[in-house]
This record gives sequence, structure tokens and C-alpha cells, in this order.
Amino acid sequence: MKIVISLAAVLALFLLAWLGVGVLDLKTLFGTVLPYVALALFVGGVVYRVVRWAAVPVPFRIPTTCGQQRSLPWIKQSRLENPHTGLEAFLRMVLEVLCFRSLLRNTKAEVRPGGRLIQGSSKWLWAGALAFHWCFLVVLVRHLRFFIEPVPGCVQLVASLDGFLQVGVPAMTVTSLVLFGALLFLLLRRLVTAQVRYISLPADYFPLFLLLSIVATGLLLRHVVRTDLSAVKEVAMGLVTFSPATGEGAHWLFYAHLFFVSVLLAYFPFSKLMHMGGVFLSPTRNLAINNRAARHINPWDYPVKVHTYEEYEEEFREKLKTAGVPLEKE
Amino acid sequence: MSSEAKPDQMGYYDREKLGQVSLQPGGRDWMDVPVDMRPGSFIYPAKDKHLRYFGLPNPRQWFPGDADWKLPENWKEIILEGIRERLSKYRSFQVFMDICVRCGACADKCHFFIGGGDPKNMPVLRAELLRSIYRREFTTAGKILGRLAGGRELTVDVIKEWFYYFYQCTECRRCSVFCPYGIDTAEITMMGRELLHLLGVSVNWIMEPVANCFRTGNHLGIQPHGLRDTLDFFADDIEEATGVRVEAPLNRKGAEVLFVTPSGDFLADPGTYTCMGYMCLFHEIGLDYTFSTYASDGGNFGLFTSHEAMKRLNAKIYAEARRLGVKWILGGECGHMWRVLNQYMDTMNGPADFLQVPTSPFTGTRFEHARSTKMIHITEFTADLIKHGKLKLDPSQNDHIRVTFHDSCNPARAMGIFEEPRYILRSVCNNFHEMPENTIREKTFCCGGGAGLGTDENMEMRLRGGMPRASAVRHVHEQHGVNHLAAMCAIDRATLSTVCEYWVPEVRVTGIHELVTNALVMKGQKKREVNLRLEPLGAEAKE
Amino acid sequence: MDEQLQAKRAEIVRAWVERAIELYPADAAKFLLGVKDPFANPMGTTIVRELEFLFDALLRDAPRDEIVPRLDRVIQITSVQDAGSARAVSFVFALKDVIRRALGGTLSDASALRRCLDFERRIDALALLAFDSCSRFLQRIADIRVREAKRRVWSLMRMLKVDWDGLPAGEEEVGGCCR
Repeated sequence: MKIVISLAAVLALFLLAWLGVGVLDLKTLFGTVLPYVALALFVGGVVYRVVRWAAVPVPFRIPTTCGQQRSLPWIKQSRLENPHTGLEAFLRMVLEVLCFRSLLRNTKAEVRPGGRLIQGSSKWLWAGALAFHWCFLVVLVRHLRFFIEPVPGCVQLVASLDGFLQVGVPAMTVTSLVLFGALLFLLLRRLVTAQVRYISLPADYFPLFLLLSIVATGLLLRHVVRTDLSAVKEVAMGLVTFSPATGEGAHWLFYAHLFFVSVLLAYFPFSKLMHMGGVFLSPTRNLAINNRAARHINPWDYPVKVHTYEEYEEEFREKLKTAGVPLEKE
Repeated sequence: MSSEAKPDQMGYYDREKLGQVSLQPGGRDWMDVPVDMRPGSFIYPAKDKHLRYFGLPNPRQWFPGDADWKLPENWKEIILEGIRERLSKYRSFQVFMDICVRCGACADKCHFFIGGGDPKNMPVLRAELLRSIYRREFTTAGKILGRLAGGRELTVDVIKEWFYYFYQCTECRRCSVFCPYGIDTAEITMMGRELLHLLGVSVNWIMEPVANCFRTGNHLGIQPHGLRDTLDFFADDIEEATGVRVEAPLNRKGAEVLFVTPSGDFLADPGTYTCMGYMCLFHEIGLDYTFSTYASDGGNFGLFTSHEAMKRLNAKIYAEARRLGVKWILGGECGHMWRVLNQYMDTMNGPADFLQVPTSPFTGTRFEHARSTKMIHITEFTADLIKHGKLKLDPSQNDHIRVTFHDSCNPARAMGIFEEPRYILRSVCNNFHEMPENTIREKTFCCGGGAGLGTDENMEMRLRGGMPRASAVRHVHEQHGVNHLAAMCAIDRATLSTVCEYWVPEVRVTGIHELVTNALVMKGQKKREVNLRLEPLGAEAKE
Repeated sequence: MDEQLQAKRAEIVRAWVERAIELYPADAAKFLLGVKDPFANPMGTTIVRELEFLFDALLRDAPRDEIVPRLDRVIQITSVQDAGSARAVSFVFALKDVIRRALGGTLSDASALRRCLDFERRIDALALLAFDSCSRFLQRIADIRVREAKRRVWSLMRMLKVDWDGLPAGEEEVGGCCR
């Protein structure tokens, strides 16, 4: 049910794009207005969310420690898993953000006949997630060629490296394929693994279907429809230079692609996709673990009712005396 | 539900055709599965007198099985306002409500899920119990789309479900290690329990210790004369075992060190032997220290109640250190106590500027990593002593022991104290064996009884939750003949004893300093024939 | 008969395990059956391993001493699921279903039926052992509760010179099952 709804939503978006551009020829709406609106929502939304998170105080220093603490000089501290300084905490975050360190921690063990223990790691989720995120980044970088004139050398380099397989004209890029595969894997995993399926919400399927549609339309545009790239570039440059162009000659599927991207941008700040920003603000990861070395201040700290020693001594005076314990007031 | 009757149902035997069963698929959405309060899983509610003594709202008599929990009239308002307040005070809470992608990395990491199979014990789903309300009430998408956006209505049944599942979480933080965003279910559970306490929904196994601790300084309600007698009694046992008479000063002003340990060590077997261990060690090296009757518990069940309760119970430690004029504080072997001391105490009740940076009077080591909190862990202290050759040890006295080490959740995942206890164990025992790698250190499995769940009415649940730990213990028992499990946590010593008795009865639970003292050669000792438990020592004990 | 069962061993064991796992919420089943790591999934791996052993043991009509310790491993798990003792042992009876289904049409033959019933007598014997085992574990839980309560106040009781069991030394384990 959740899956059907999400899939239906994405199909409806596709139909909308087809109807809008393929039939009604609303190119200005789909090629200019909606992208601008989406971008505004994206930037505004992300800034709003991050500012709102950052405005909430961190009252306590509560990082999760995943390695040996810094204590005695002859005990080797695990600097990346239990960072004591700001720099070490930064490096921990780098590992987390760029390499998905925590997902890599999944392990599995197996006992062979005779009791011999085999330990290994279970890397599927890590590999799938990493493949998806990195390829998505590379594909984004490649798309810069539509938005910058002249195309920077680094972008061209990425694009040519990406097409090293030299299959097809234009060359099939490795990252697009891996991206599509990784998304399929993440989707299948959600459908097949019983626990993950149980916890999944429509909000988990929808972005997957949306991203799959974006990649699929992109691949179609490049390899099947072979739309007029100069028209595409015209639209893209128009968006960047605030002199909108309609891009005559671009296939209607291009507008579907653009529409999906617009939806993704607009949807982003209001969804779980904000984990991209949230990971940097997670108090269990981004703090140095110098709890006992430097005092952390709670900005909203307030006095509480305690049981003072005086009250305690008053209540237990006789018993303290019996026990021969020294008193403040005899 | 399947229409097929199960062999334990009468309908099963009426059927003409047998054997038409297939594994039923999990068709229902978790939001549609009502909470099934199984006796053996829930904990009895707090007695009204404890809530009243500690000044918490809505003290009353009620029972989880009742339809009416006698919640306040405006309970819904209270909860929503409570959520709002916490969202604005704790970035952890706000961020963790927003960023979970339900990747499932945590799903099979919870000992209660592994040992019991209840899907709502998957950490992600435990958090969704609260997150679904957050989405429905605090996000635009949830307000408009409701269930489609993963939101659900806040009803009394939700409160009941929270009670059931937030008290099936031991706040062990194992899931947080595997989460790509560090989402910490302990943090969610703490918020959930704080919210429940606003309605007077709490459990007796936590509230009674909290009330006791506020009044007498320790969870068990031991009063000054009781503590005096207990320590004297320990001294008698020590004398019987070693021939050495040790002292245990109480509330002594001007001592160099205040020693704080969980009160479980005063009363409960086998923690008591660990306490005797400390006393022997301090005597042997001549540490100038004192116990306190007022700060007679480092443990803090406030951690399992609310941040405010934690602060109220923790305040006595610095207050007592100041009153007694000690230089620094030494903490015993405890788990959640060290979560509080390491991650909360300085912030809540510091600064401890009246104390000095802990410095070992015997080795001269300055414990720089504790220069602000001014409190160190006893295994840091002892490891330093051993490294500098200040203790005369005869590990062969522990030769009948083949030991493995259980990393307690909080020292592991809120401190990262892994090597100190291992160094000590290797120094005092000749036979030390590690459990499998994915069950120790930061990946250690909980005992199943932490965070205020270590009572007896939920025994079956605790045994289920302890099973993952026990299966690793069984492995080293079968492979290496391990017969002792060392743990530096009072709750572990109590609950793992139970877990082992059920799953691996051949293995006994011990503390680190019990083993230290059994290997310690004391000045003026008689020939050591028995250990602190008054059982034969070393090689003689083998047969 | 035994040859027939032997031939269908894999199928029977698989079906039996699935039936045994019905004790758990449906959504846990995939996890219990799918995750092979004995430390990440001690429950599932134990059930799979021990039921396989028990089926083979039934086939060769193994002696009781061999069966009991392995049966215990399973019952030890099913006894703490808050599901009652009937459900804790129900997986044994489920084997009858599984076998009848596996043998299917061949049971119309009278001699085959007789041999099937003969095999079911072994299952019945296993069921009796399972009852035994289950009651032993329930007793163990009750004992543990008492022991834990005693441990909690151990030093207090010793100070008060309370004699726990009123038994002479060395006899306290009589009738107990915990050590």
C-alpha cells in the first residue's frame, strides 16, 4: 500500500509533466517557473531547517564513544573513534560523512563445525549507500557543464573519466549506471528485507522512486531520445543567467526530467533527505569527547531542589552518632 | 491473523485435514498492531508514596493491565507541551526526530529484538513510536497528510505503548554505534520516559531507588549505621580470608580522596566482594580516603527518570567532596554511574574548582584527562598502580579462574574505557579470553537489565534480552573453559548472574577488584587459602 | 518409511523450523531464519541447528541421553517467550503436521500409515521429554528469582546471621537445577 501510493505519486508527476509539456506546451512553466520556485524552496527550506536545528542548544556532551578513551599516556587512544580534540572530532565527522564509517561497522560471525569462529563484515548496506551518494555527487558535477560556459576543465575531466568504458555514443557513463543500480538495490532491500520493509513509510519509498525516475529519464535523454543538447544548455544557461530561454527543440522528456528534479528540490527540506544537513549537527558524533577535561556548559541550566547535607544530618543525627560518624553539629 | 489453530489451541485437534499451514506474512502495519501488555515483560508501576516524596506529579495507585490509567484530565496537552519544550532544549531530540532515514542498520542490533523478536524492539521502531506523534503534531506535512506522512494520532493507547516499550530499552546505546547519524535510542527513551513522568506514569523499580537515594544518599536506603555495620562486616570477612585487618573510614574530613561506588556493592552478592576488593587495595597501598554516608551512591536512577532527577541526585557528590575538603574523587566499578559522572556531572553540578586535578600519591601520575571533573575511574587508578609496579601480585592465586570480560554498556559507549580493565585482568589472571569481536568493546551486548529494568516481574524479558550476551559467554565457555565473567558494573553483577544462571550455569560473575584482591599479596597476610568468598584459592580449587 | 523421511529430510526440517518460529511475531521470522550469525541471531541459529539434530535423532531412534541436552537448547529459548508452556513445546507436535504433509498421498497405503504412526510415537516420546524440559526451565526461572532476591540482600542477611536454606552445608543443591 505504502509502496503503491509512492509509486502512484511519482507516476502522476510524470503524467503531469507529459501533459504540461508534451500536450499543452507549457514550457515556461516547467522550464522556468517551477525550477525557480523549487530552487527557492530548496535553498530557503534547507537554510531554515539548519538554522532552526542550530538554534537549539546542546545542553550536554553526549557523544557515543566507539574506541579507547584518552586516559593514561601508555594506553593508546583511538583518536578517530573516541576523539579528544576538536580536530580529532572533525576527522571523525569526515570519516562519517565521506565514508559512512558507522555503516561499515556491521559485522557478522559464523561458527564452523568444530567451533572455529569466522568473523567477517557485512558491507551490503554500506556499499549500496556509498555507491549511491558518491555517484549522485559525480553526476551532479557532470551536470555543471550545462550551467557553466565555458565548461571548466575539472568538470570535463570528470565527465571523460566517467565515460572511460567507451561504450556507445555518447559514451555510457559508469556513474549513471552505478547510481541506477544502487538505487534499485536500496529499493529492493527495502522490499525484501522483512525488518526494513516493516519500518518503511511512504516517505521512504517516494524519494527512491523519484530518484529512480530522474536517473531513468536522464539515461533516456542521453542514450535513447538523444535530445538536442544545445537546447538543453540554452535552458540551463537561461536559468543561471536569469534570462529564461524556452529551449526550442528540447524533447518533452527533458522537461519531465527537469520537473522531477524540481520536485526533488522542493521536497528535500521537508523530508528525511535533510539527513544530509542533520548528520553534521548530531551531538552523539560531532563533539570532542573531552568530557572530564573541559567543562561543557548547559545554557538553560537551572537550580533544582536537592537534599542538602544539613537536612540529611538533621534527619539521621542519632544514627550517625550511633555509627560513630563525625558530625558537623554535635 | 492466520485462521489456522496452533497445537496449543483446542481447535487444532478438531481439524480433519492436518498440515496446511504456511508461514504467515506480516500483513499489518505496525501502527495498527495494538500493544499487548504481556506479564513478564512490563514492570510494576511506582507506588504513590515514592512519587509524592520526590515531588513528581500525579501520584496514585494504578496498574498497567487496567483500562483506566488515571491520567490527568489534560494529559494530551501536557504531553504536547512536554514535547515542544524538549524539542527547544535538546538539539539531540530535535535532530533525531527529523533525520532518521529508516535504513535499518540498527534494526537487528538491539538485544531485546534479537532475543525476543518483537519488531517494536527494533531501535528504529522504538523511536518511531515517538516520532510518529512528532510528525503528526509538529510538522506541516504530518498535520496535512497525517498517516501518509508517517504521523499518527496521540491517544491513550500510544501512552500505554510508550510505557511498554520505553521500559523495554536499557539505554545501552548499542544501536547508536551503528547508526550513520549517531541517532541514540537512549536519548529517545530518556525523552519518552521524561514525558511519561509528566503524567505520573513510572515504574517502581526506578522510583523507589530514586526516592531512597534522595533521602538516604543511596538507592537501597541504607542508613548511616547500616553502612557502618556493613563495612565492618566486610572487614571481618577480609580478616578471615587474609589475616589482615582493614579500616573503612566514613565521612572523614581532610582525607585526600572521596571514594564513591554504587550502593549495590554494599549489599548484593557478588558486588560485595568487589567492595571488599577496594577496601583491601586501599589498605594495602595506604590510600588516604573516606567513604561517605551522604554521598553513599554514585549510581543515579535519576538518569532513568529525567534530567532534572539526575541532577538532583547527583548534586550530593560534589557537595560532599567540598564539605569533607578532599582533593579529588575516585569512583568505583559501575556502569550508568559513569555515564552520569563522565557526561553529565560537571555540566550539571560543576564547576569542581574547589578540587585538585586527580594525582596518584603513589605513582605521581596526574590524570589530566579528568582535570575538570576531578574524578577518575578506579580501573584507571589501579591500572596505573600496576603499570608502575606498586602492587605485589600473584596471579596464580586466580589459576582456578578462566575469565572473560564483559564491557558494560555505559563505560564502553559513554566513556570508551576498554584497555584499563583488560590490562588489570591480564595482570591478575593467567587465563583471560575475549568473547567474539562483534559482542565486545563498543559492540558489547547489554545484560538486559540496565536502565531500571533489573527487577523480577519482567524476568522473562530480561532473560530474553540477556541471551545475546549469554550466547557469546557460552561460546568462550565451550571453547576455552571460561568459568568466570568479569564486569565492572553493579547492575551487571546482579543481572548477569541471573542471565548466566539461566543460559550458562557453569559461568559465575565477578568484579575486577575482587580478582585484583585475590591476586594481591598483602603485607602481613597469613597464608592465603581462601578467596574473598571464603572459597579455596588457586590451584587447590581446580579439582 | 525412514528412507522416505530421510529422502525428504531437508524439506521437512525447513518446514518444521518455520512452524517452530511461528511462536514469534511474523515480522521476526525472516530475521530469525535469514541471519546466520550465531551471535547476532542466537535464537534463530540455535533453533535451526537443534531441530535439524533432533529430526535426525528421531530418524535413528537415538537414545534419550543424546536427545535431552539438544532439546534443552530449544526449550530454554521457548520457555522465556512469555507465551506459556503449551506454546513452548508446541513445536514438537508441529512435526506431525509437517511429516504428514511431506508424505502426502502415500499414507493411503495401510502399511505406510502404520509406519507413520510408529514414527509419530517417537514424536510423542519427544513431546514428553519436551514437557519435562520445559517444566525444568520454568522451575529454573522460579529458582533464579529466589536466588536473585537473596543475592540482593546478601550482606544484610549474613549480618543478621540468617540461615538461607536451613540445610546442612553441601545439600543446598538437592532438587535444584541451577548449578
